[in-house]
Amino acid sequence: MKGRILGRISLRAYSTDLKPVVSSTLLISRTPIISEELTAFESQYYKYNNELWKRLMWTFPKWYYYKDGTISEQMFKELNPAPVFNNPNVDFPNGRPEIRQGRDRRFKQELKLPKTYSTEVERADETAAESSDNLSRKIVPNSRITKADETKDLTSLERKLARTLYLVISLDGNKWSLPNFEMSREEKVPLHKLAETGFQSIGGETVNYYNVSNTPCHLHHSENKKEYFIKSHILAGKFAPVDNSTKFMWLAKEELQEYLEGAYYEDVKHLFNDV
Amino acid sequence: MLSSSIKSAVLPVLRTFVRFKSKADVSPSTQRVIGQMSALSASKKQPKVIRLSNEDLIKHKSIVNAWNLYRRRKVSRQRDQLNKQYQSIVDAMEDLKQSEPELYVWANTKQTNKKFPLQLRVPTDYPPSQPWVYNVKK
Repeated sequence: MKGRILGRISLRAYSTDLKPVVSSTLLISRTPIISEELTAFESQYYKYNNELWKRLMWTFPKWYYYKDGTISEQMFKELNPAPVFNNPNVDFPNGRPEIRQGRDRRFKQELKLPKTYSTEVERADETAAESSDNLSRKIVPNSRITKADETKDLTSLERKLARTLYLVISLDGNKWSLPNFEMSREEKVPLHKLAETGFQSIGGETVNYYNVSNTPCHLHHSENKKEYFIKSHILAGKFAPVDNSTKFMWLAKEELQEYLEGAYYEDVKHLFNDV
Repeated sequence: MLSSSIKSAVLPVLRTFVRFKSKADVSPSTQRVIGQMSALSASKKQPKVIRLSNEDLIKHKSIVNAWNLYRRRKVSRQRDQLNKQYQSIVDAMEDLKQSEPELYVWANTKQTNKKFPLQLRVPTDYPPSQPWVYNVKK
């Protein structure tokens, strides 16, 4: 196996006799901030399993959590009225109820618990800070779709929170590529250092990043040039190009296919995350 | 004579009545344990066993099989991608070894003082109020 790989590499011929330029390509990614989007099949399967689980669940031991005669028991009773009892004088065409511990054991038990917050309209004079200090307030999660998604802002780091985004830049605003930095023939520096200094020089000064390794993760041969790929994650901060003519975007895998050159994308696509 | 025989017949039946309901003989701690056990045990709390018809059973099995197939394909796709990525690293390093021995040594040294960044976030179901931190102190 090893011999075959070595043979393939050493057989490669470049268009000129000059040794190919060594360069370092930075594969900087923004890791997902929220969990993966479920496919239709996944969400249906989870729903099915969840319903089965609820159907097979034991009856809620009400007497243990709500002592008889307390106010909380009263509130619980009001929210959860008793099921129709097995009246011997009534005919039940769809099967007779089997009531055990206040639950019809033929079906899942659906419980409603008393809320800690009032369901009425909030006080008009209550400020936002006051209401956020209120520990018993209703918890409303933030939307998974951000403003950047709505405005289709491709340069924002807040777009597609569920996906891994990769930085692509364009010097002329026409041809897009991953940030690539060439090594000078005189002075040699480690590949990951080359990528780091190069990234800082084009506008990564205000970025907190984490280089995964000093080992390159891929080699791409192009016309008299060798591109070694260095993986990195952006942790905080914003990429702000030094040169105003430099354009940049944060793109997910499928979008990269549109902007990168076809053969180049085919060679490097396995480096990008599907999620 | 008669009255005494009546007396003897009636007396054992007579009971002393107490004003309030008598408490159970168990201590409060034992009572608590009984309560906890009743919450944990299955007695009278189990739902009815699901009896699936043949058709429903086939439906259920199809769903589970479809899920297993889906998982298997997903896992194998991920494994293939990982293998490709590993092969990429091997290729790149072998090439470096041949063409740039100096860079190979640099790329192959272990980074011992490197620490995993605490700022890297674990994905949650919903985003934080400020999804991204923009100010970086250098």
